[in-house]
Amino acid sequence: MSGSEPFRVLVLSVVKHDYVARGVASHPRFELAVVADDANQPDWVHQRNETFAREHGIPYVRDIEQAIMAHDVQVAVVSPEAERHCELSVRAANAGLHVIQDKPMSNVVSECDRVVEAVQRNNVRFLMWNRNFLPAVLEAKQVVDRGSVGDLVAVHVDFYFAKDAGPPKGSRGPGDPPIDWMETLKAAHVTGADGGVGKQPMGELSIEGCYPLGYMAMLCGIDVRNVFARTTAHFHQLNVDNDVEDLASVSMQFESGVIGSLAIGRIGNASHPDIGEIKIHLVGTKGAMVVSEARPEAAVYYRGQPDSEFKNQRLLAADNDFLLADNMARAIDSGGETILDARTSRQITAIVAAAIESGRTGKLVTVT
Amino acid sequence: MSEATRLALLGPDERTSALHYACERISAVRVDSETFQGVIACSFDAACSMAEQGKHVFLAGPCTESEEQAKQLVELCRSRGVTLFVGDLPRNVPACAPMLGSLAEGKLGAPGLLRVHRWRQEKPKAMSDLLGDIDLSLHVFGNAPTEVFAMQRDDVGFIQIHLGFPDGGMALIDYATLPSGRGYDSVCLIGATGAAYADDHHNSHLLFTGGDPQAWISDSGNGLAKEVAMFVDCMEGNAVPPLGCEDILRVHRVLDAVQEALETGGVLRQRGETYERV
Repeated sequence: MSGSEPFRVLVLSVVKHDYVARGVASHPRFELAVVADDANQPDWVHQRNETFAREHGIPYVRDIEQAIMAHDVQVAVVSPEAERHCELSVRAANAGLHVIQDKPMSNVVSECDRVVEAVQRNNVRFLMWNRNFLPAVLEAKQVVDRGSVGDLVAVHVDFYFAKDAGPPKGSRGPGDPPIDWMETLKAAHVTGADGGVGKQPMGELSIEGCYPLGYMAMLCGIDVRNVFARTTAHFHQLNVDNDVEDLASVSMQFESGVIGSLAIGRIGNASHPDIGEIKIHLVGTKGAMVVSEARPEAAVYYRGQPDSEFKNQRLLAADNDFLLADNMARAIDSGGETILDARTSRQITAIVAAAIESGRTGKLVTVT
Repeated sequence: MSEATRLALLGPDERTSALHYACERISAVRVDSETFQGVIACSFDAACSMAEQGKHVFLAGPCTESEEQAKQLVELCRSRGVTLFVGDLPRNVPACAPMLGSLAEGKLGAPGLLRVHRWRQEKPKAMSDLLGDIDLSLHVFGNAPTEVFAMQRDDVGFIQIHLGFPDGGMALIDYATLPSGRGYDSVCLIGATGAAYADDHHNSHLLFTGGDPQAWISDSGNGLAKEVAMFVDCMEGNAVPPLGCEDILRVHRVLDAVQEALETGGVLRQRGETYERV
């Protein structure tokens, strides 16, 4: 690590889970300097921004450009609602800031293109927050790189979150109004399950798909040519009412000849004893491997343990955040790319968009 | 059963040894290649020959390579009044019993996703080798798929099958060929109110002999004894085969659609009893 002064960080809206900003702050190369957002944001946005600022002893400024000018920042951490991700990232890049953005990149591929262009034009670094530095994923990468399984033939990620998202499908009574997406996700802030907060409802492919696709990007690249997908709202009334999927399966054809699959869902608390089943299966010309993404873990059980408490606790998960921040610091120092840069993130968004379209049409869809 | 039911075993040794062992575990069954009422056959030709002779037929795994062959055998058994039982199916293995039992009892709710990884030492020799998991998916969803898509890497013996079912159901099945040694099975069923996992990874143990440990997988059984007992019940008219004659034909139609999807690279959609390219 370079021994220079820490990068001063502008937290550009932090209305949902704040683990990105916290993760960045955990690294000595970064120092949170100020929180900022546009003045015309609704009160709940300002309240959450102010809470975070107060917690970290830093000012909150209701004027993004003014905050950038006044606080000598070099890096922006962007965690607003997903529909504002790209707009704020573009503004940060145009102001010459390196950008660390929460996932997903966007729901709209053209917005991602704006970020790619802005990052390139302004020669700044971009990192989309991800889980690629989890120990199991890193170890899988090492095995692949060693050639132990030969050339990759197929990559599969099964990514099931055993979390509820409100009442079950079929629970809406006659005359009941549809469940409001925004209000439900705002209320989910207390549990941290608010990754989809915003005006625009999002299914699991949009909210979480970037994580497993990020694994694929690291293990074999993300040059997916076309996809066939099945999507459905299978578990939660929230998803039914807002016409977004909570269960999806995606078959992918890579340009390289690799065949991929992703099975993803928010399958409900009852459907797994822990956070969920997240597995990577890799098949190569010389062998194959099966990896549990959550491991290593340590288990704790006790009388009266709340159902909501995860009995298996991931070890070294916090390292992922530190390593991501470290990766960004090194990229800034060297001018190189991060582990999940803007172009790759844009491709992931394009794959998700194609999968959603395939799920709706029942057709094979080309990734553009 | 008042006296032992006599069954003959017809097929190559490597397949019949497990079946012989399964028969030995059932006290009311005796293996007898001279006088027998039923036969456990490992090939289509043997099955047809025995059905012609009025013997009940247990098909040990996928022996019919096409819908036409399946129809021929179905009709032959019907005309001779003998039982046709398709065995050695994933739906009957012990690993799937808790899953399918819970599904039948409503504990898992409406099935949403069936995810299967099947890795073997040998490449599938024919599309019919995939019959078992196609049957499993039709059994889980209680319907034929409405969409069929598939991809393969023929050079390395890899096939991926992706099925869409009514009401949003989906199945994703992949077959891979491993260099050597034991295979790997993982079956996961996600329902609206619960999920079931039958996974070799979970059932693995460690062996330390220096260096990194090796893993070995507990044998979770093959279900053949249960199937043979079911076959005998069917022979005696006390039960019907779980995979009926129409079911067999339906599975073959899906296999044909998978084959076409592999050849054309496209998605096939159900139209009546058959499938057409989208």
